[in-house]
Amino acid sequence: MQRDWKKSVRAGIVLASLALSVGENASAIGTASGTQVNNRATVEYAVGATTQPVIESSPTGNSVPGATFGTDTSFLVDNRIDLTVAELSGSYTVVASGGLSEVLVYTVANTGNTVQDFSLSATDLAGGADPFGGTDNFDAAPVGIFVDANNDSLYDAGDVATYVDDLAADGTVEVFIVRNIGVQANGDISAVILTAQVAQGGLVGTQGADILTDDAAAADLAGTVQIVFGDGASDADVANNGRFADTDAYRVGAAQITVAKSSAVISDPINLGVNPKAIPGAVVEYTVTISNDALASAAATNVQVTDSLNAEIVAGTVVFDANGYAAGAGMEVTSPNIAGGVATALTNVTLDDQGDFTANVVTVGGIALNAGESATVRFRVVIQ
Amino acid sequence: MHKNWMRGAAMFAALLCAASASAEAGSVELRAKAEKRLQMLRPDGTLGELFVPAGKVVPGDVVAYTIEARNISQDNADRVVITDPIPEQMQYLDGTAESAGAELLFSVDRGFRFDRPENLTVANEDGTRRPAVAGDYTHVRWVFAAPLAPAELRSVRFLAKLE
Repeated sequence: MQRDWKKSVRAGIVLASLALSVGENASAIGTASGTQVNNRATVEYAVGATTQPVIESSPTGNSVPGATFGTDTSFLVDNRIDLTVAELSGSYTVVASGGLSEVLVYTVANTGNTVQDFSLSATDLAGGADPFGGTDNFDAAPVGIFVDANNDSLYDAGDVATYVDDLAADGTVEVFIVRNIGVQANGDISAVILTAQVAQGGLVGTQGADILTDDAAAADLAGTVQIVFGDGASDADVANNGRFADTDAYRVGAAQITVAKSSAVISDPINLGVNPKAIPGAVVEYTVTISNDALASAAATNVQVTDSLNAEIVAGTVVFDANGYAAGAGMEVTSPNIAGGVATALTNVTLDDQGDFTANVVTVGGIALNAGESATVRFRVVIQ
Repeated sequence: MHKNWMRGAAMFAALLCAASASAEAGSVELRAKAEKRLQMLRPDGTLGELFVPAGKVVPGDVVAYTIEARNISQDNADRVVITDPIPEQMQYLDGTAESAGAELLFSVDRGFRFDRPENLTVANEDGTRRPAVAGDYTHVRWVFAAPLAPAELRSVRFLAKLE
């Protein structure tokens, strides 16, 4: 009988280990708080030649053989609170003087092992160095701090929540600081610190109370989920306090566009292409160069170049070369955002591309220039 | 008695009760304890370790499992084998199992097969096999050649990290 009993115990152990292997996947960021972690060791032995029944362990010591007599040695996983806040752009957010509802974008990540709420606050840097090498010199007027409801990184109508509600362990949300800029000079900088404070989670739609202290000073309570702060130090913030902060900055700026125009004689009827002279019948190419200064604080978009030849054409001194770059294409543009920066012939017809020659006016639009970039527009006339 | 065992569930339950009532102690008492590792910087700059009962444990913490086997009989216990499953939420820390004179074996398949670390492999997704690493271990086993003498206490231990 003893033997049969032992066999049934063995079968039970095999079944138990099969059951264990189902649902083995570990969680991504850490074992969830409240999880009970169990351990039960076994000893097998023989007395003389006779194998004895397996004995399982217990926290206090067990010597009775069989699967039902051991007790797990267990502990409860506590709540490790950890979070990060990071501004998203990695550089200044360029705004216009007087701009309304300008947005700084941050991410708030729950890197702990429990669902949490996070309350949000913004603090102006009181002068001093901003994170991008400049100096804070003004404070923009607060509109609010809002959570991105649909995670599209855009501050839009649905983004009204003022705290992060029930962010799961390993979850990330975007948060916007929204401010009005006021009248400022180009180059003015307003740096703002976003601080997230961990709060009680678990009640959807209700802002939990801030968790201001952990249980570091409290005795261990087996069977109670206790709170342990594990967050790092950050901007104006020490480690292990349930808070994390990061700084972003507005910079007031505008594009700084310069335009230069030059001309060159391409050919004349006598010398053709060899040292051509500006004599009647000669072809002259005009080059308009538009540049956005390398120190500009904003990109220039939708730049349009217009050059009127009306006075010269009416006076009879020049004729526009309507086929200068191809049949029906009297203009050529070279811009980083058009055809990958390759020189492109544009037709004289309105609306079919970026170029147009109407009423003796050359127009080339759709040019976009980041700081430090330039574009050229060329067209040709024939001297009468 | 053996015939009774083979009869219906009621008899089986009755027998189980009987077995409980007459549950006789075996020859070995087995005790398992879990302790959390605390690390601190000593004034001389070295890292000190302290083990406290596993109360406040969060992901990343290291827990020491200590299993003590004590012979409570008058006879030697031979061919003593202690096996401990590594909790599924935890990862064995390489090199931390103390052999205590035993041959140290590991399992990577939830205890079906045990072998020395260099003989263990696990399947890659493409069907090939790679050498097992500490993170693959599911069980630790200590196989003692020397018998456990009456009243002798033998203690084994390993460290694992809460994921």
